[in-house]
Amino acid sequence: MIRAKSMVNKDIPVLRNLPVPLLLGLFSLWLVSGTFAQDTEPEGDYRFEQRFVQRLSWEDDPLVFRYEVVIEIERDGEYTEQLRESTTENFLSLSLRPGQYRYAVEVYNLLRQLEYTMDYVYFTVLNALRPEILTISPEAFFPKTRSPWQITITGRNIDPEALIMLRPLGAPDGQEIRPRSTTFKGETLLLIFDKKELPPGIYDVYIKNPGGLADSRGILTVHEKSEAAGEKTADTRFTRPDIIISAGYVPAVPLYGGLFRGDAFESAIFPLGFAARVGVLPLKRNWGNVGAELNASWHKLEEQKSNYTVTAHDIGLYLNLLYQLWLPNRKMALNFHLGAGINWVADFYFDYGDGKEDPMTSAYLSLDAGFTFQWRFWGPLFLETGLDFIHVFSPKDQSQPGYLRPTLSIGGQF
Amino acid sequence: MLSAARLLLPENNAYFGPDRLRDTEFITFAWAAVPGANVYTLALYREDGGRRQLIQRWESSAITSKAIEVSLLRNGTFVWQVESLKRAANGAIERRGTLSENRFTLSLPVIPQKTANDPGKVYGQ
Repeated sequence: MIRAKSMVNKDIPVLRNLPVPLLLGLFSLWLVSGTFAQDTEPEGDYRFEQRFVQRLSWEDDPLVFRYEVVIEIERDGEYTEQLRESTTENFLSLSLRPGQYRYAVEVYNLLRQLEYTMDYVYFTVLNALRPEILTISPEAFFPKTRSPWQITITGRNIDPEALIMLRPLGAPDGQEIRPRSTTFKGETLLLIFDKKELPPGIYDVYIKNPGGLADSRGILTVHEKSEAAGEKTADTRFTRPDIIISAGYVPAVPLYGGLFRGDAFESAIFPLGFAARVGVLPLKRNWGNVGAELNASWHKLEEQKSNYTVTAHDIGLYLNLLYQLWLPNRKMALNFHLGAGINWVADFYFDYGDGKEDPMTSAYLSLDAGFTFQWRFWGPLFLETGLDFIHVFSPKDQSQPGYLRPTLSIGGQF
Repeated sequence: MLSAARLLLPENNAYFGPDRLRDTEFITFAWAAVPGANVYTLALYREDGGRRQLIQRWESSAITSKAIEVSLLRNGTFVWQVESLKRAANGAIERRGTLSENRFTLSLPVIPQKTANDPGKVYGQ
């Protein structure tokens, strides 16, 4: 392939192509994480552009002085000449764009006269797609793993005829390991490896489409010692944890207790609410990912009575243990979390029409338990729905309320 | 009468086959100068069953060679003739020379029909 350098396009194609609702979702993520605030690509940067080369060939003859190759492209059912090249070789290398073509070879004898023209050969230049590896699971194998050594890859643009292999990091070329079997299920790829062929070490996954474009992603660690024994592994290099960020709509549905019902709030639902969470999953195993998350929420509590109004803000902040289980299709995951935190009932006051009373703010220890269901709809981005149960410990006033928080949010796992 | 031109190239009964034609785009006809001549005519014939078919005739002034593109030729036997002339200033022929002629043969095998290959799956962007 010929490589040529060209100036970087400063556009951000990923953002440019997204639908408006998704951009709004990303914007809300940005508010939480500030992820997109650091686009500092330097001026005058370069990138390499790959050019594809097609090779046409024909039978050679020593009695031929030269060949003239006529290439025609199909447009609206008609073939029109696009290129005419003369060569003394019996091949021609070109760089054609995707499309339907045909070519013929005119044969000139040693008297430089046209002797005959070969029959047309029809061919298609396919669009070369760059494979993209989105996720790899698991990221580690242990010798005592009983289940088959199966790697699940989600990705895009992976051709069924792609070359797929594991490459030991730092090893010379030629030591790549091919899977024993490869199964495609939509955009999910299941690779089965033979344990004996995977010595302890660090690997990356390499996928190359027939067009020549490739992607690789790591790190897959094959450990030397058992995970359960807690012994030192063959390699102690850091495996990057996954980061989960999400935000969305979260109403509150009181279940019991007096803080939200009782004499103050009697509504069956408080619809105005928002929640966001940031999680980290450093432990990634066959049986799931384990980590922690910080979950923050806000609800507006307000009720209009016949002769007064009661208002408060319920702000929660919880630190939870997080367990994530990917479903076999690698596009969906279940997340379970359990933890504790603080609930602030802030700016709580009654207003009898003659001005609001002095507001009160109280803090309570709270328990958070819940689950979410994620569906990856575009790359690392997901839609999420779930349910949280919150119990607020408030022994002094004996109210001890509990409520449910249904969740509908958007987020990403990176 | 002028004397006959001595023909130099190609040699009489020369054979032009694939090896000789592969690297040459022209056949050069050359002869020695004739004393008293100031013009030469070169005529090229193709012999076909005893008949001569004129391909082309050239006339040159005091030049004793001529390169002819091989693309003008095809398989067969050819005769090339040189005649020396002395022309007056007004163009009238004052003296003629004796015709000199040589033969050469051109033979190329027929190229068997070949086919172009299907490139198979090819990719572009």
